[in-house]
Amino acid sequence: MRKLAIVLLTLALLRILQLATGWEIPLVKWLSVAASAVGALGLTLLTTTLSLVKAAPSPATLKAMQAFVSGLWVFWSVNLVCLAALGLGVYLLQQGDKISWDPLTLKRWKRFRSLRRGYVSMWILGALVFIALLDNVLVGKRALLVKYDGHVRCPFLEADPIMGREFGVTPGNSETDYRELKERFQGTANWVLMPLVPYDARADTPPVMAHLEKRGDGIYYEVGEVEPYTGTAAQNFKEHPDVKRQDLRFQAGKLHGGISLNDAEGSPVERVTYENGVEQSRVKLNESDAAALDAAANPQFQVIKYAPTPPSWRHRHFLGTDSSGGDILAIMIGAFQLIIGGTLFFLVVTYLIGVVVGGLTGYLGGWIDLLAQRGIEIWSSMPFLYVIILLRSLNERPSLLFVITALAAFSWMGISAYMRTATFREKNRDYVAAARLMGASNRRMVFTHILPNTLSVLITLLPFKVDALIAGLTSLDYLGFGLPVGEPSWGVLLKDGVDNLAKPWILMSGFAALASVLVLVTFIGEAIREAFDPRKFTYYE
Amino acid sequence: MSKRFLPTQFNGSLCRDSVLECGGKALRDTALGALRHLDVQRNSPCMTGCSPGVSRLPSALESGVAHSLPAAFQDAAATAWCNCLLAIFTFFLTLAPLSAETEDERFPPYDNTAEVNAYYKSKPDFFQFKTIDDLPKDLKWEDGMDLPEFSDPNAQKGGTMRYFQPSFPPTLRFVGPGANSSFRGQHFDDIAIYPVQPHPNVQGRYMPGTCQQWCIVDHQTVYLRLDPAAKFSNGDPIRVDDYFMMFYMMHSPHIQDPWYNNEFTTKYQSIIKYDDLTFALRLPDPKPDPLFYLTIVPSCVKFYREFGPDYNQRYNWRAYPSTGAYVLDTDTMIKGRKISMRRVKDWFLKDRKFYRNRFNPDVINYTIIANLDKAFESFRKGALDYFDFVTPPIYWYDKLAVPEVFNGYICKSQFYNDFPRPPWGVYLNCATPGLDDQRIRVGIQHALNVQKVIDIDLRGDYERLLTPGDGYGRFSSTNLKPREFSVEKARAAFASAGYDQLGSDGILKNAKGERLSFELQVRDNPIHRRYGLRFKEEALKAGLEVRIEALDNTSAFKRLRDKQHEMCFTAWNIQPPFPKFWENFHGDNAFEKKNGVWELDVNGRRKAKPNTNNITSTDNEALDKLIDQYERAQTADEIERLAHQCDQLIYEEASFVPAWAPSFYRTAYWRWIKWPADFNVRISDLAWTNHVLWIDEAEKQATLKAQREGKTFPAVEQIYDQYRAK
Repeated sequence: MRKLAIVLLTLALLRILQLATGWEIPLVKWLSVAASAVGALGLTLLTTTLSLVKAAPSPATLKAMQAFVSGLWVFWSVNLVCLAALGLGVYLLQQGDKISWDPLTLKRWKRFRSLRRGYVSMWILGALVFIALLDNVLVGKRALLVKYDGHVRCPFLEADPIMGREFGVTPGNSETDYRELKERFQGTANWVLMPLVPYDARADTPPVMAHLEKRGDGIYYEVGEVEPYTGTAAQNFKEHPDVKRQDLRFQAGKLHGGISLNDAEGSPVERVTYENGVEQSRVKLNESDAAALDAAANPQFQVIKYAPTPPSWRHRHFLGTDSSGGDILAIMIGAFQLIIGGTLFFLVVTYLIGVVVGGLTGYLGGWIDLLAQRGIEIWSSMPFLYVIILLRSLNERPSLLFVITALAAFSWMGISAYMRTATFREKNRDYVAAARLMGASNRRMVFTHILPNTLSVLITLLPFKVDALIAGLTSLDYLGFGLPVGEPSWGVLLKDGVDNLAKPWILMSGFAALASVLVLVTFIGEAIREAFDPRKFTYYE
Repeated sequence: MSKRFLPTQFNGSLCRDSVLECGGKALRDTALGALRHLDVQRNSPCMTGCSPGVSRLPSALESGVAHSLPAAFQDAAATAWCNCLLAIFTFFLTLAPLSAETEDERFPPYDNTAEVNAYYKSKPDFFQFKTIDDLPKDLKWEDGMDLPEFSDPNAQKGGTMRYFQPSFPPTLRFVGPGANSSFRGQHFDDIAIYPVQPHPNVQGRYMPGTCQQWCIVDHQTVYLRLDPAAKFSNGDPIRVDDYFMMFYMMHSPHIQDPWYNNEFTTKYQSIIKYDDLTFALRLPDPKPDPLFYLTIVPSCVKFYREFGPDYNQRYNWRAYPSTGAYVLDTDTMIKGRKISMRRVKDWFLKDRKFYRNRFNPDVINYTIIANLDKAFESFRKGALDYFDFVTPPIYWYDKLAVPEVFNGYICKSQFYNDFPRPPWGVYLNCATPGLDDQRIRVGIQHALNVQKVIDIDLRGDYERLLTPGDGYGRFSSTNLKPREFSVEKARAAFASAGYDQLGSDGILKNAKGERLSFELQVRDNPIHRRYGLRFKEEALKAGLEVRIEALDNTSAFKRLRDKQHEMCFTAWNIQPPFPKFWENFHGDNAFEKKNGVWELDVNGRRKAKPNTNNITSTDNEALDKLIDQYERAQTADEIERLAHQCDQLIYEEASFVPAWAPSFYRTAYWRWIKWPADFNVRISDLAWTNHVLWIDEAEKQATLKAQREGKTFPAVEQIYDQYRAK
């Protein structure tokens, strides 16, 4: 209890800190994200309903509503949640010891703890979730700390992007590239502390650069490599790093093929042909001072390592890059964040619909049951994947919310079936009959007697629903009907890996992420199922 | 007759030429050619890449059902329809052995001689019959024999060339429903002989084809003398009557191909017969290069005697007599799996200048392999001799990094050609709010980092496109450099349009709080997505948000037609010799106008005109005037001058962000496929279209033996840059 209280209080305190300083604090940021998601969904439902009854709001009203959702709604809903957390935390801290748990629950908990595999899995998964929630403390292109001119700043906490000029970059009128800044600051009193993975999961695909060196045998090697270099390289001008003095081609470490030498404007001035390092021909296209141009050029030969690049500690691509040059570890964590959010939302929606429909049909029975069951049968016989694909192609701007809602719309039937059976069974038990005889109201019977007794069924089902969601989301992404282009996703990673089987680090990372999370969830599920097994604790015949 | 050599289509009603009714060549440019050249995956990339299956839906489905359904359903409908056709097709396949005898019952003998002659009589202005005495006496005949040859004297005849097709052609006709498949280029456009053929190395010059001599009068009338030895592959001589028959067919509703009906009634004024070997063609207006319009292929009168209302069924699987070096081989054809072309052994041009040492393999076999990767694996195994989808860097550098190449069994060649470049780029729709401001468009030009895509994603191989009409030789401006990526210039341009405040997400805002955010529509394939994401990532530096919308071909095309896009990365079909402006940039194709008044939409904005190629909604009076003059231009110099002026105005409009174009094509082939010393001809878009290659049987045996014994050859990677623009 005390631990829970501390967690809740920390959350509330972080929010207060956020309000006071205006910082974007990673753990609290998720509340805003969730709040705006709920707000957006509510808005969509509202406008859809309104347009269905032919009362579509005018663009101005719509804009005002959107502004409300992204402004006041998010602000106050997060505040309220944190306020509630604060209250609950304080209450638990004071009264926590006095709260006594149902002995059955305690027994189940004890049993769950004794099942080591599930228990350990829960802690590992919890740790993973915590890591994902840490967000840009661990993963991101914004620096944690920058010391410049004696001042220390925390760019990752600041809401507004810091322009490069504030750190002395010229002209620096776009957001600071902290990785570049770090290199720039080398050897000065200023420094930059980057997160462990200095890349974003979205829209961050810097090319990996390397340099060539000529070793004793007169053959060119990439710095730090043992094999002679084969491929293209470029020599740029010192003053104009975007302009190439020459485009070189190497075969087994020797110059090979046609090379064109350019002037500082990038127009070719000479063409040279090499074969195995030996010059074959040299054609001057115009009169230019080759020596001066060479002097103006950077002496190093630069190599762009085209994505996907293998894992590299030097470039801090711990798991390599995917085929567009994005860091795989960053993408994996970014995708996991989306999955966590999606899962919570998904579980709430599916359980809500499933429990209400299942409970009602089971409790009321008769015609309602009959009709609802036929409806569910029709609904569940719809080819789920096709419907999703169809919906996806009708909706031009899909979001995670949309995909999850669509998935949820086809996932509550299983829960409702279990719920219906459980309610049906409980309803016919003697204690319910006794309660009815004593004149208990329907509400009392449902909420006090039946629902708590169906809990084990629902909880047992939970991990498997999580599994199904993760697998469903990933496969939709794999098929290209999932998240919008550019969002991090395991499915996209897997697809990329399959398309580039020769670059095994992509597929292996995607597969490892998916498989390990699914296995963890399954282990937890097994343990929960066993802990809640009615054969151990039910006394009814 | 081939789209490739058709004049610029100045028809307004959308892109009928390039989309719905595109000739075989045009289609190949998009559906297949693009795969080879334009680093795009299976989804055909050009916006003209509307699949033939969809564009050729039966009219009932097309007009009745498909149009009322959303795009997704249309796709489904098309798929369902294709499946249905496939089922019927398979059913008939099983009946094939029986149908040989019943075919005659379905198609009783028919003789159209009387009705053909009646038709000629009914159109005396078009079909004119004169005598040889009527021929003007002072004609200066040309024969083009002074032009250089371009084939290799070492070429050997013989052998079987093995290649693939992604799908089996639905018909062997070259016109009518289903004829417009990707296979048409192989059996018709690259093979058929026109009266005169453009010389592939000397731009603007022609070499003899079925005609030995020709003479142009007043830029409008072309007099032609047929080669007396000219004959079809079935042995029938080619005579003037066969050209008349061709016009009769192309005018006829029986071919069920309105594009051809229109083309052959409006693009030619008359055909005049002087005797069996002498005739003249007259165009409606003087043109700078009238020979360019001689893309006509004679129809053998004897073969088409049964041409009538049932033409499409009757002639569906009949191999037509060819004028060229190859003829379709129906004997070895296995429907759905394999189709072959057989070399005509006694072809009348076989030993003539310009044609000797070309068209060398005895047989060209096309196996049907639907999947590109599978075809590539077949090629690696040696089941195909040749593979030319390797222009994209991923094939050239990664997929071809295999032992077969390192060991020298498979050779790689890169050839710099001189061919119009498809105008790949980002088209900004000026009809949408925000993009109607030229300053914002200029900002976007500076905010899209095209060069980085070229350097990183295309590995620096491709060159930046200069204008939408790039690659047309003298008709293209070379002094206009596209605006470079520059955060400062982009921000300055955005600021001048009022976007000078920075949001917390790094996106610029104006005083009203509107974010600088536009949607970029790309094709839903990994390569286009990657381009889009690169644009997005870089544009963020300039404070511009680019939202990527990846759409499948059908929906993408529909949105473009309806002008619902904001920005779109796409390209149009292209044909030599002149760039097109009217379709893509004329105000007539931008907004709806009724009786000289703009029509307005619900928001009070001018209503964009749907179904036109002007997807930038460019509407500039000065440009319109220039384009009108350009269309009426009669000399090449005038065309050049006006084209350059148009390019300049389009540059100032800034509604088109030029992307890139490869100035080469790449080919991989087994060691025994041999090419001329300079590899290929200048004006070629693919390596095989001019048939200059040959098969060296001795080399083939040697290579196979070496492969069995594990011996290797030096790796071959050739670059031919003699035609590279310096």
